[in-house]
Amino acid sequence: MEVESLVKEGTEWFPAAATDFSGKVDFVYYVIYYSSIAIFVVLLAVFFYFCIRYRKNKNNQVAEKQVEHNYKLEVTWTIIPLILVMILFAWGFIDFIKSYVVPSDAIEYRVVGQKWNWIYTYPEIGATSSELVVPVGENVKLSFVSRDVLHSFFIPNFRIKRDVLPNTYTTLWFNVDAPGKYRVFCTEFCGDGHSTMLSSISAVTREEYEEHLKTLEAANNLPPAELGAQLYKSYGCNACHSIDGSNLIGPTWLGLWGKEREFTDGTRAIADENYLRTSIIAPGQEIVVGYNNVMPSFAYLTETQIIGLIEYIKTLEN
Amino acid sequence: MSANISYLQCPEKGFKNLLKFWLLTVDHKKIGIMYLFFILTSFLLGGVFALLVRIELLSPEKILFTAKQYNQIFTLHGIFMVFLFVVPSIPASIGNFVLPLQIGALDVAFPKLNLASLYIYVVGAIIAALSIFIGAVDTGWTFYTPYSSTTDTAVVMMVFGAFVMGFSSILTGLNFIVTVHKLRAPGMTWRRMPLMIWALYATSIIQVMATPVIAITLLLLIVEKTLGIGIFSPKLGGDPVLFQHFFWFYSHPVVYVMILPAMGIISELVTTFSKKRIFGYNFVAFSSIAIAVISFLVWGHHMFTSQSQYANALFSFLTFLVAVPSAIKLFNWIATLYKGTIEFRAPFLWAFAFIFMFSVGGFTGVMLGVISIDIHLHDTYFIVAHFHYTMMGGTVMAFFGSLHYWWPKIWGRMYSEGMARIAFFLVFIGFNVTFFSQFFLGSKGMPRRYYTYLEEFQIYHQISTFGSWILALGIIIMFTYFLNSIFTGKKSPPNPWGGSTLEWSKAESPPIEHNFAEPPVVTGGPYDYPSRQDKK
Repeated sequence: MEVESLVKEGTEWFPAAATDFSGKVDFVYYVIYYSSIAIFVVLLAVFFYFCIRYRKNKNNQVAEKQVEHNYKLEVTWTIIPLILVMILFAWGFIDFIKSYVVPSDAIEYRVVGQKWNWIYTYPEIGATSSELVVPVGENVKLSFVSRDVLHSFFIPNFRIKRDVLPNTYTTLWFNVDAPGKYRVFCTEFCGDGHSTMLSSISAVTREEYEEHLKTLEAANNLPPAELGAQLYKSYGCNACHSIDGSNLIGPTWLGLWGKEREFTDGTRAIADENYLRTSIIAPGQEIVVGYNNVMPSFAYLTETQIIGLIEYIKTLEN
Repeated sequence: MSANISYLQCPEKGFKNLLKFWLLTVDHKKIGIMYLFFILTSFLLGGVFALLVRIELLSPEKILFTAKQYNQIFTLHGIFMVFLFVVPSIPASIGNFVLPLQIGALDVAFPKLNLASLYIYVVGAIIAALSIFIGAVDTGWTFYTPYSSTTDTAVVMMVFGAFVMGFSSILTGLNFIVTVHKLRAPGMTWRRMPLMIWALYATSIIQVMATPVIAITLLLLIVEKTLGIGIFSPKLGGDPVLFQHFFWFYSHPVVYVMILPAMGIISELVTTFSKKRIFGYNFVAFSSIAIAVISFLVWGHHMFTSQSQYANALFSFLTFLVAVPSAIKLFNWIATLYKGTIEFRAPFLWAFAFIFMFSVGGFTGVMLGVISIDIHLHDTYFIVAHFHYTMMGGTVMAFFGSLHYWWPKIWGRMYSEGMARIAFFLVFIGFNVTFFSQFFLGSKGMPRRYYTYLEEFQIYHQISTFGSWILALGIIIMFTYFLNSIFTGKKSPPNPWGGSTLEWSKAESPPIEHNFAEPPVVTGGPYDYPSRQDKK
C-alpha cells in the first residue's frame, strides 16, 4: 500500500483527514483562520487609512485633536475579544477531551519507543512489528512507553500526538475512517536519528487485518535467514544499518560477516557469531572506530530471533 | 563648560585611558552601549548559525553537516538567540540607555551594580561560547531531560553559562525597579511616566521573580549530571516532566521579558511619529502589568502533550486570558493614530513591521491556545514559525525600531534614511518569506528539529532558505549604515523626531555626562503634544 502524501492530499493547510476527530480540528482551525484574516484586514485597513488621512502635510502640521480616552470603546474592545477567546477555549477543550477519553471497546496495542524506532505489539498474538496495521472503522488504543529518552508519537492525518515517557505509560486512541497507510513521526527531539524515527499505520478491512495477523504468526516458522530479513525491517535495524554498503548511523551489514573490526579501545576482532550476538545484546561493549555509542540493547529478542538476525547477516556478502 | 561635554568624549588622551574610560565606567549610557555591542555580536553569531541551519535544510540529503553537527548548530542558534541575545536585548542595551533619561534621572539607582551585571553577562556568555569547543550541546535550547542527562556533549558547561547570565538579568531587573521607584524627576508621577518605562518596569518584575527558578532548575540539572542524584532522570528515580514544568515556569514568563519592552518601544514610536497622546494610557500601562502577572500562570501550554488533561484545561483558559491585554495594546496603538500628524520616518516603519508581524504571531497564538488544534501543531514547524513571528517579528523588529529611533540620541549622528528604507524593505520581505512558509510545513505535519525530511516538504524548505538570504542581506545593510553613521553621519539636533519625552526635550544629542544640564522638573504627561483645538 502506498503511504498517503501529506502535502498533495488534503486541504491547503492540512494533510487529508483520516478520522472524525481530524475533521473537527480542521473545522475550528478554519473558523479561527478566516476570522483572523478578516480582523487582520480590518486592522490594517484602519491603520493605513489613518496613515494616509492624517499624514503630515502643509494643512496638517499639528494634531487635529488629542483624543485620549473613550472608555466605552475601550471596554468594548476588551470584552468582545474576551468572549471570543472564551468560546474558543471551551470549543477546543470539549473536542480535546473527547479525543482523550478512550472508549472501553478499543483494541489495545502496546507501543515501545526507543532510539530510533517504534515497536508495536499485537494483543491478539503477541507478535511485534515496527509498522502497525489496524482494522478500519474500529476503536484503536495505543499505550506507550519509552526505553530511553523522551519521544512523541505523531500521526498528522489523525491530528493527534502524545509524548512517550520512560517512566509513565501514556495513551492515545483513534478510529480510522478510510483505508490507507498513514505517516508516523517522532516529534520530541531524541538525538542523531530523531528525523529518521519514522513509522506508519495502515488501516485495512477486518478480513485483511485477520490475514495480516496470520502472516505475522507464520513468520515464527520461517527459515532463520528469512526471519532475520523480516526482523531487520520490523525492528527498525534499517534505520541505522544499511545492507547496500552505505554508511548510516551504524556500520553497514553488507560484507560484515567475517570482516575484521577495529574498536575505539584499540582492540580488534573478527565479526563472528559471538561478536554479532554481543553487538545485539550489549552494543556498548565494543564500538567500531568511526561510530558513536548510541545503539540501545536488543536483549529482549528471543534466541530464535537473534539466530535469525545472525543468519541474515551471513547472507549479506559483498 | 567641562561638565557639559558629551558622555562619549574621553577627557584624557591615550589608548589606556580610553580603555579605562569605557571598561570602568559606571555611566548607564556607556554600559548600555557596551551591552549593545555584546548583544549584537551574539545576534550575529546566532544569525550565522541560523543561516547554516537553513542551508542544510535546502535538501533532505547531507549538504554541510552530519545529523549530530546539525543538532548542535540548531541548539547553538537557539541558545545564542534566547539567552545571549533576546532576553537581555532591549532592557540591557536600550533600556539601560533610555530609562534614566526618560524619568529625568542622572543614572540608575546602583551604577556599580549595573557595571557588575554587564561583566556577569559577559562571563556567562564566554562560558557558553567556550563550551562549543569541548563539545557543543545537542539538546535543543530547552535542555529536556533525560536526553540532556545522557548526551556526551558539554551540557554542564553550557547550562552553567546560562546560570551565570541569569544573575545579570536579575541584577538589571532589580536596578530598574529601584530606579523607577526612587529616582523619578520631581513632578513625574506614575501616570506621567512614558509607556516605555511601564514596560521596562513590568519586565523587571518578571526578571527578578522568574529568573531564580531557571537558576535553580539548571543547578539541579548540573547536580544530577555530576553527582548522580536523581531529580529528573527516570533511571535514578527522577521525573523528566518535572524538568519541563520547572523549565517553562521560567521560560514562559521570559517570553514576556522579550515582548513587553518591545511593546513599550512601539508606544513611544506611535506617539512620536503621530504627535499624539497615547489613546488609553491607563489601559496600555496596566495591561503591561496584567501581562506580567498572568504570564506566570500559563507555562503549561508548552506541555499539552505531556501533562494531565485537567492541567491542559486550566492552562488553555489562562493562555486565552493573556491574549486579551496584547490585543488591547494593538487596538490602542492604531487608535492613537486617529487625527494625528503621521510621518513615515525610518523608526515608524519598524513600528509598522512590529504591528504586522506581531499580529500574525498573535492570531496563530490564538490557534495554538485551542487545545485540540495545539495537539496537532505542537512541536511542528508551525510552532517554529509562530515563535519567530513573536520573538523576531515582534521583539527584534521593535529592537530595530528602537535602534533607529534612539541612534541619533546615542551617537549624536544621523544614519541614511534612504538606506534605512531599503533595509526595512528587505528585512520585511525576507522575514515573511522565511517564516510564513514554515506555517504550511508545520500544519502539513513536518516536525521541528529534523535533520532530514520527506521529499514532498522540500519546496517549502527551499522557499524558507531563500527568504533567509534576503533577510540576512537586509540586516547586513542595516549594520553597515549604522556603523558608517557613527563616523560620517550628519550631526543630529537634540530632538530630530520632535519627541516629547525628557530624553528628547531636555537632553543634548549625545547627552552630556550626567544627562541633563539642569535637573528636569515635570509638569505634564509624557506625550503632551499640542492640538489645533488648544490653539483656538
